[in-house]
Amino acid sequence: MKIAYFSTLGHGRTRQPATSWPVPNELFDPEQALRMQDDYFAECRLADNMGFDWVSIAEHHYSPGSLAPSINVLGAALAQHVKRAKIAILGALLPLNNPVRVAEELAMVDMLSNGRLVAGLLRGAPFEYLVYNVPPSESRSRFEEAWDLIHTAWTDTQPFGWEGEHYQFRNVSIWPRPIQQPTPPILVSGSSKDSGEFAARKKVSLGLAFTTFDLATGAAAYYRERCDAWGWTPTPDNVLYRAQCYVADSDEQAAEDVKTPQGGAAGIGGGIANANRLVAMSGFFGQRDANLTERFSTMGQHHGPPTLQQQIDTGSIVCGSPDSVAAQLKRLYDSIGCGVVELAFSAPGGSRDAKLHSMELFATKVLPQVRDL
Amino acid sequence: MKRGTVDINGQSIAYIEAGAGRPLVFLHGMGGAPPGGANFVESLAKERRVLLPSLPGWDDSELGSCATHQDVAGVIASFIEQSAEGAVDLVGESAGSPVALWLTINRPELVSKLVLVAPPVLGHAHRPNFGSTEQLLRMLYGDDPDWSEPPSDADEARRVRNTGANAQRYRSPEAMQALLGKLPEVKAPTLLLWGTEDSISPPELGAPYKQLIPNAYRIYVYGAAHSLPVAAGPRFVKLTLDFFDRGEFFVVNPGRE
Repeated sequence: MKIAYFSTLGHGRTRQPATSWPVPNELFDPEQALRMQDDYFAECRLADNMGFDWVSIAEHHYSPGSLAPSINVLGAALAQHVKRAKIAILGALLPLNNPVRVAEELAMVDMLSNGRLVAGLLRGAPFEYLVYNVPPSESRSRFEEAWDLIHTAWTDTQPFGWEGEHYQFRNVSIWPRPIQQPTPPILVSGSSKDSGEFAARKKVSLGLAFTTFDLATGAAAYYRERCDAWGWTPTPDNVLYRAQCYVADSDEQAAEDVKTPQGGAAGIGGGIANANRLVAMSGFFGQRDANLTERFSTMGQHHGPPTLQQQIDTGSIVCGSPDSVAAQLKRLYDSIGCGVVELAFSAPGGSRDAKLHSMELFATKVLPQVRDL
Repeated sequence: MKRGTVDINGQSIAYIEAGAGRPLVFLHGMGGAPPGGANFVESLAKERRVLLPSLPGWDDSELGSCATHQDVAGVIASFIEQSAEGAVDLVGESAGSPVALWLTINRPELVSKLVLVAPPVLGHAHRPNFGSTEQLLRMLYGDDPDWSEPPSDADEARRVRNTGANAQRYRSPEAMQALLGKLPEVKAPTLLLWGTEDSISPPELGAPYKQLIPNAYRIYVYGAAHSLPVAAGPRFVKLTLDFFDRGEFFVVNPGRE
């Protein structure tokens, strides 16, 4: 099993609680942002030195939760700090961006990292579609067209133009081409059936995030079924699953620690849930995945906060002592078949020390138990 | 739209003519003249005088003594001389592309600009699997063809007859190899169009055209099948007329009209 250390370059706590999304940027604190940036890169270097296989990042907008809306810019910077692990950009959100620019920038990151890029080509969460005024109903078709355009830009060695439904270019001939030939490893998100089918058809890896254990198990099985139909067999390395992670010296200590909220941008959850609802109900998922429309439309509207055990059971977090976390990862591997798990390390109460201790326990006591899965 | 025949040195050549203005000559693919319901001829004819000769051996055009692409190109050169004054803008679709290329190479004074649509694969062994008639029609026209009505039974019978009569001669490897060596002699500005879903002339195998024709532009038409004028009619018409009208400025975004 490979482990990706996932971390966002966040702003941390704001001087007043952020309660909506988009978050007013009057709350942005430049000095704090620079301190957080220093900490962020230090933690990424630490993860690299600890033996994490990937360091991964993702594009998000308009909140203190992420100060990296231009994710490829962060990827380029990260490539200078992280010297061994792969730089996994999971991902660039294709429907929101100029695909030729995405192809150019990802190829740059591949060059700047000496060929260590893992390219996540994703649609993004529904709420992102309020950022650049992209119609949610066009998300799928924009994504698929942009994917083909990027792939062609990476692999076609003669200048070409593109006349598509969403994108028109008369001259494309990107420099640099990716260092990894013919392309860097590519991953697409696969929570929906359309996405699983797409990944299988394109013979690329599948990423499962913002989902549950049961849904991910079903999605991965569907992906493998469709890969078979398209004439190829994915390996466990072709399936990535994302979860939160917190490791403490004992199960009891972990349970006690995670009772304390993380702080930071956690307060904007309701605003994002509302934005997700608006976009999901505007055609983001399409008819085939109406269940996802329902799920995003009602997210955050009922239920109290889940218990830790519920979060562990649904696979949204791996948490506990090193042995417990290793067992939870084995459960994910056995059921979902994920050879790559992407972990976002929690910092209970905003405690960086607790987060670093959790990372260290993971690297020294969990990683050796799951490495050979 | 007018249908007629013209006598070329004793050889009867059938043609379709529509519209008025600068002449645009369209050389059809293996199936012959496009199906009657195809909209692109009328769309082109809103801007241009469109001449669509049936190549010798296709439709109602006599084969005469034509044995090679160059022979056919010679007949079409005479057709242009008889039908238009001076140089024309020329489109060659699929199997019509080799004829258009030889015409451009041998009679450069007759061709202002050239558009090649899904020209045949050169320099590679490629044998598309056509499958059933239904599969073949989907490979040609895709899922959303631009026609006012689907091909009639007569259209389909004509397509089958044309292909049976001409495919062997037109797909000879020797003829394709000879053409490959002559591509650097194409002087006219050339636009190369491929549909990204073309499995008959796969776009990824079209690189030699771009590499060897000195002044060539290449556009991929996203999601389109082989017979672009029908499979992606509006985009084919837009690209073709834009290239013919603006020449090398074709690469510049003209801004809002």
